[in-house]
Amino acid sequence: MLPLNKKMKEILLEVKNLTKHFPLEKTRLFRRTRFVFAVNGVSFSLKKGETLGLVGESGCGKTTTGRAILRLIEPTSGIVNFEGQDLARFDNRELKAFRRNAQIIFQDPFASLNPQMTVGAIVEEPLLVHGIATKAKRIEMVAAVMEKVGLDADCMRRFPHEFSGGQRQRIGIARVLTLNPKLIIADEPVSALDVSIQAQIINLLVRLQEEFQMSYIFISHDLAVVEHISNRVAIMYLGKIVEIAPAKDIYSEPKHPYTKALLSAIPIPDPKSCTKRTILGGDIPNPANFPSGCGFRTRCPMAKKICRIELPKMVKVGKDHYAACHAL
Amino acid sequence: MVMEIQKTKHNWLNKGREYWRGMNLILKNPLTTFGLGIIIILVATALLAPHLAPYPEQGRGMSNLKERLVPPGFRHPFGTDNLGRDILSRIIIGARTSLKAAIAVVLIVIAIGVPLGLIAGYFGGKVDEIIMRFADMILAFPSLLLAIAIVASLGPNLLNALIAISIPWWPWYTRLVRSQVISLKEMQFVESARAIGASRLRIMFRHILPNCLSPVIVQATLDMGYIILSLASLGFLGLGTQPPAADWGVMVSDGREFFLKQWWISTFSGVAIFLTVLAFNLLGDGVREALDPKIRWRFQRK
Amino acid sequence: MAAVTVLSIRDLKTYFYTQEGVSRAVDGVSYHVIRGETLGVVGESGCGKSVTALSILRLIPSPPGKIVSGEIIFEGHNLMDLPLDKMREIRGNKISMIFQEPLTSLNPVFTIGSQLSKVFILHQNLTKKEAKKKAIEMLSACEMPSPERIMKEYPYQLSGGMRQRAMIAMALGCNSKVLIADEPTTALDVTIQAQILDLTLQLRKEFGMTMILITHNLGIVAKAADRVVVMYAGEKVEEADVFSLFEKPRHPYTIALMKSIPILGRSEKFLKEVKGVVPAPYLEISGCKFADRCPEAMRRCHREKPQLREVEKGHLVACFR
Repeated sequence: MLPLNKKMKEILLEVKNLTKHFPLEKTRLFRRTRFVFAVNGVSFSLKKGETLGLVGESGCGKTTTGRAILRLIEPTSGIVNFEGQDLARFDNRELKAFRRNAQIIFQDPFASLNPQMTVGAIVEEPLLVHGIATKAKRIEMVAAVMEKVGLDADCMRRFPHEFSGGQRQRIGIARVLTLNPKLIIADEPVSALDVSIQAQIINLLVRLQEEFQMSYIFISHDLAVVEHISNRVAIMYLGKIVEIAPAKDIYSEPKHPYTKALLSAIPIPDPKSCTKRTILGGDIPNPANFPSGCGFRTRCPMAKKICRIELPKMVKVGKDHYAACHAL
Repeated sequence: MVMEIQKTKHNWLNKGREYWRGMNLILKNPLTTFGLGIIIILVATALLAPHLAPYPEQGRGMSNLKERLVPPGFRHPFGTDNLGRDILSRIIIGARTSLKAAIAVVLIVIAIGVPLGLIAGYFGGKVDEIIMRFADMILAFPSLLLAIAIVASLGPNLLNALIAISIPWWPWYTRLVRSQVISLKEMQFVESARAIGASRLRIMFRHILPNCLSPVIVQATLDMGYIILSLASLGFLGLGTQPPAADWGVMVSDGREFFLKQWWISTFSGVAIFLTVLAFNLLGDGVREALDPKIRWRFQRK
Repeated sequence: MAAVTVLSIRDLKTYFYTQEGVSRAVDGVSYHVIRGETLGVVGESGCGKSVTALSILRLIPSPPGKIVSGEIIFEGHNLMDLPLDKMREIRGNKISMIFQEPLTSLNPVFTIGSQLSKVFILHQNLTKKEAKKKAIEMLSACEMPSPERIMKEYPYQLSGGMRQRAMIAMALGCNSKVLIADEPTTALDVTIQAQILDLTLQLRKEFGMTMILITHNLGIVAKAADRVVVMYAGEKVEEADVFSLFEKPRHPYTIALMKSIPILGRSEKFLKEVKGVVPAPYLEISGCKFADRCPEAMRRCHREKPQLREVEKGHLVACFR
């Protein structure tokens, strides 16, 4: 729950009405292809040096949003502006230049590193791809970055499988850092790690942000982790942002019923806390076939008739605090 | 439970140790060791063939009509054939032909099949469709029949036999590599390479290809035996190596008419084929097992 | 209510013999469960919490694993000495186990209904009709919406939460004396996790279920457990009832673990991190296994292994401090 820095004014990234629909396999020959509406109109902006947390349960589209922003998946529609430039118009050369500025850290430290490459080669690769510096200089840079993330320089000759999950995640971070990006999308970077190692990696990310002033989009299902690391938090449900607010307001004054339920579902590590839990019934609807009106109405404890008919609009409910619910 | 290997000071030893561990795994299985032993003997024989063969000229085809159809004995351990040539010498010289030809076929097949599989799997869509349907078409023919048809149209000799065997063989490698590539291209490290802006060529050759080579190596080892068998079959039908050059398949065929009385002509060359195919199979299975733990990292999830 | 011990483990040692050496996955663990309680077993991956549970049912894959020594006392018998067929009667019947991913423990080609009934026919000698009735009953006890429909569905048609409910229903229907739940909610979404957790709490109240709840999540332990065993690197380092553990954790590892998790609404810039990593399970360590990472380690800790001692009634700690 970091307070907003005064310097954070310039907008780095702006996402407007981003959507991504994946076609399902055609079920019958002459039938229209059905779509999975993974991301369904997501808008937000991100300032320089800010961390935005993206929280939601599986299938809410948080990961797809991250990928679509980086154009690792081509978005179906919507605008992504990075430093005022429309990403959709980038040709291959411009896209490659953009990749120096925007990077991604992956969830699975076991799958995100090429097992056939040495750690040195993995960390060096971004420099090589972008033709930065000479071989000798690059090795120097790699050693410097490795030190930054807390790895010995002599790890360079070893292979990823020789490292533990936490160390591999550090390697992944080092690889991304070599390019000195302005934006890092961290996709569940600590979910695969043990609790004590999680803290190490989260602290590392906070320290690096202080030093290099980059912006993070921190994607996670763990609201406690997100609330800890983010300036602002966006809660997603079924491909939409249902609430977005400064981190401390999300916790202290949640407005959307889903946010409230999510907060109360988190088991608090204190046996004496007996906060009344609102436990949501039912399952998350299938994003290929979701309900009319408000997506959350099937599980919402306060659903009314209007929720069935009309999609709720985002309304301002506080300073920098927006939520989409008819009950507000 | 995933074993976490701790930092060791002597890390430069790790890579060497890794190979040694792989070798150890191969040798642990007595059958694999047996297969490897036979292959080592076979390769040594092929390399030193002119020096090992007691009658190298006869091995190459010079006839010696004074000693026709001599049964196995002291002068001719495996006996002689109907032209008086020493069978042992012919088997030894023939080993060279067979091995060279098998290596050539494996290389051709890999050179065609692997890149096509890589392209089909990586690009998908129409490209995939065209390559794979073409491969299916070739696989739909009985391979030996196709080979026979090819040799028959090109004319019987060793080179044409190699071509004839390679053509129905490469689609297996294309299929194998394609299925690997399809699962690999969804891996996070490939996405990570895309995210840093790596080119398609780099992703294909630096990230995907090295990770799908282990099954190719296993398949190639297993196939060495089958290729030798196919060559012998073509030789047997008179469509491969042409007499008087030595070839195991041709020798089996030559001995056919004498089999009831002069059993040794067909038998020893048949045994040579049998042992070679068996050895490559045993080794291939051993290699598969040894490589497996390294393939398993993909399923190592916590 | 008199405290009746249902199951107790004494000095269990389960080793794995691997290329790297002997991996001491469980190295002398003892704990017991009292009837009607939920015992939480917490620890990070590789601490031996799951291996202990598998050892109870003698489900350790062998080779490479082997239960080297120890006793598991259940209903007056040492499970270690039982013949395999007796052991099979206990598995899934008197002691049930549910896993993190229920899809792997359900057979994909049979409907939920047929799998549930089969278990009841086998273990409880019910007729087909009775078994079916019981299955529906148990599914509705687990708050399955429209159990009749669920009976006809295949495992892949259910969501993760529903599958876990089906597994719990199976254990429930067998009148299991002990339910071992190995990370039952880890693969589920937060809101679904809350549902399942709530269900187990309720079932404990209604049926007096005894449960061993294995998890890495301290929040879940705080919510659901009565007593807690904390494990580290194959050993039990602390045991206490849930209130005194969270109020006054004694072992530096437990303390570090609690401080390293972000708590909602607590604003701090950096989390307290535990330095270093868990020692490899095949290393010989003469002293305390946590000593290398411990902020309060003394010289003695590296030389000598601390024994468990009772610092308060029912609160055991293995630390010199």
